[in-house]
Amino acid sequence: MRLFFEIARTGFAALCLHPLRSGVTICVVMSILVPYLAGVGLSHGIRDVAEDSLRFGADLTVTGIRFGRTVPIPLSAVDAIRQIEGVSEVVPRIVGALSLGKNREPAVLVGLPHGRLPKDVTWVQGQFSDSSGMHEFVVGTQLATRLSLKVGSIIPPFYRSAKGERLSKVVGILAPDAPLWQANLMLTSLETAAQVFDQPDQVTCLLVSCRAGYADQIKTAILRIASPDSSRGTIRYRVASRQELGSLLPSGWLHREGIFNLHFVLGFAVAILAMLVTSGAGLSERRREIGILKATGWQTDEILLRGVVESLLLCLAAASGSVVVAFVWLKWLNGLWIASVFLNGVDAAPSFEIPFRLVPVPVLLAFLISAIVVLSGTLYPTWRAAIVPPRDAMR
Amino acid sequence: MSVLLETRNVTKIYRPGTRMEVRALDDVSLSVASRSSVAFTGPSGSGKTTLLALLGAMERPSHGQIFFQGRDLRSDSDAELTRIRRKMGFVFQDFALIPSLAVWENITYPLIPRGMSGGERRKLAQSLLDELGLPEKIDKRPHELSGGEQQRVSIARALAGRPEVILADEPTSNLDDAAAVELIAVLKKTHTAGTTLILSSHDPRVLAIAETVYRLKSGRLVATDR
Repeated sequence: MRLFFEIARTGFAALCLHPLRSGVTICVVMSILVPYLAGVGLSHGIRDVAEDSLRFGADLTVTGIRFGRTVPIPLSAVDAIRQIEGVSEVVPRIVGALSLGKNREPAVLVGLPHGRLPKDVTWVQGQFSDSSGMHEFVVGTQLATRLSLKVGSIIPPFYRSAKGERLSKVVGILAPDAPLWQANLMLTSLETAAQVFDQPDQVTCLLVSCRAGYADQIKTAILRIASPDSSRGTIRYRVASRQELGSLLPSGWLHREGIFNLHFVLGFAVAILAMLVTSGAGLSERRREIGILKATGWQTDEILLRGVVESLLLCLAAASGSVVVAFVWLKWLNGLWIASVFLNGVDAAPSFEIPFRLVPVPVLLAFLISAIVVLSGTLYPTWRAAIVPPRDAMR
Repeated sequence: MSVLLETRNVTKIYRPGTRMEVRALDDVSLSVASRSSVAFTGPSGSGKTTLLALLGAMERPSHGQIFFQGRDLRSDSDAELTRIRRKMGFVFQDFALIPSLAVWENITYPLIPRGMSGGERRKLAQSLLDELGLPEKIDKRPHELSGGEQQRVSIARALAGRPEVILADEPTSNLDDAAAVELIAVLKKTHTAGTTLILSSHDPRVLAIAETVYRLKSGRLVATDR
C-alpha cells in the first residue's frame, strides 16, 4: 500500500512539475464542461420557473377552437362559466404577440381586467393610474432596455384599430429580479389589449379557479357549452387542467435540452481531439520521460498508475473549476451569452435576472466526462509510450 | 569468475523488410564476466550503442540470444525485463535526466517503485552526491548544472540502486577534459568496489580502464583486445 501511495504521489508531483501541460489540459476540459454545466443549470432554472407558473396559476385554462384551431373567446362566455357550480373565479386574459420600434422588437402583450393588474407591488417600478386617458403599460426589463423606455415614456400609436389609435404611456417597469417570463412582456388592461389587437369583447383565454374537488366536473360542464358567435357560428371550448399543462412542459424542456446535449456531444468529441492534440504537443517530452522511467526500472503498470493519478487529479481540478466558473457565469455574469441559447429572443447580455439551478447529477456527470476526456487524452499516449522498448521511447 | 552477460549470434535489424532497413548488429557473440570491465569501441554507427541497449535489456534482438546470469532473456516478458533492468545502472550519452525534477529526485526516482520513502531517498542522494563531489547541488534542476555535473548525477542515479552492472554509453563524449578525467575516476572507483562495468566509447582514457575491449565495425565484432 505504501508503494502504491509513493507512486501515486509521483502522479501528483508530475501535475505540478508540468504546469503548462496541466494548465492546457485543465483549460481544454473546462472549455467544454463550463458551457455544459451552465446550460444545464439554466435549463433547470427555466423548468423551475415554468413549474412555479403552473403551480400558482389557474386550475383550468379555457381556449376557444373552431376548425381545430385556436380562436378568441367572446367575453360573454365569462358569465356562462361563472354560473357553473364550483367555479370560484374566472379571469379573462388576452395574450398576443406584437412588435415595436423601428427594429421590430418582439413583445408579448398581456391584457388583464383592471382589478387583476398589479398595483403597488415590489416587482414593478411604477403603477397603473386608471386616470391618464392614455393606454397604460407596464413593460418587461429587456423590452424597456431595448426600446429605451422609462416610467413616463410615451409610446406613439403602434397598432391599427377600428376604434382609432391612442398614445400609450409606460407606467411601470418590471423589476429585473422578477420571474423570467417578464422580459419581453407588456402588461395592460383587458380593454387596452382588446383595442391594440382590434378584437373588441374577445379574449384569448379564460383562467378558471375552482373550489377543491370540482375541477373535473367544471371541465366537463365547460366542454358542454357551445358559445354562439353571431357572425361566425359556434365556438367550442378546449379546457386544459393544470396537470395537462404540466405534462406539456417536459417535452419542450427536453427538446431544448436535447438540442443542447447534442451540441455538447459534438463539443465533447472535439475536446477529446483537442486533448489528443494538446497532449501531443508535450508528447515527445512525455515519451522521453516514460522511456527514462522504463529504462531505470519502472514497470508499465507503475507508469500507468502514475499517469492515472495525474489524470484523475487533472480531471478533478478541471471539473471543480468548471462548477465554480459555471456558477459564477450564471450568478454574477447572469448567463452572459448562454441564456440566449436557451431563451428565444433574449439578448446576449440579459437585462433581467436569469433563473438557474446547479443540480448534482450534471455536476457528477461533469466529473465523469472530465475523467473520460482527460484519461483518453493523456493516459492513452502514456500507455503507448510505456509499452514500447525504453530505447524507442527515449529517442 | 561467473558469466554475468552473454550474447550468442545476436543480430539487430531496424525497420526490417523496408528500404530503410538497417542491420545495426550482425551475429555478435561475446560474454561479460561478473566484476569485470569491458568496453566496446568502433567508429560511429558501428553498433556500440545498440549492443549496450541489448545487453541492458532495453531492446530485444532480431535474432540470437542474450543471457543475464545464465537466464535467456528471449522469452522474458516486458515486466521481467524491467525487473532485470533494476539490477543494472545506466549512464546515457545525453545524461537522460528528467528536466522537471530536482537532482536528488532524478537520482532516486528509480527507487520509488522499490518502496523507498522520500526521506530515505533524499538521504541516499545526498550521500551519493557527497561521494561524487556535488554535495551542494542536491536541489538544483538539471539545466542549472554543467555537462560534467549532469553526467555525475547520471552516474549517481545509476549507482543509487546498487546495481550489479553499470552500462555507460559514451560517458565522456559530452564532457570537457577535466570533467572526463573526474568521471573516469568515479567509474574506476565503482569498478574497484566490485561493480561490473560495460562501456562504449572511443575515448582512449575510457578504454584504458577496461580489462577487455571489443572492437566493432559495421555491426560486427572484428577484434577483441585483452
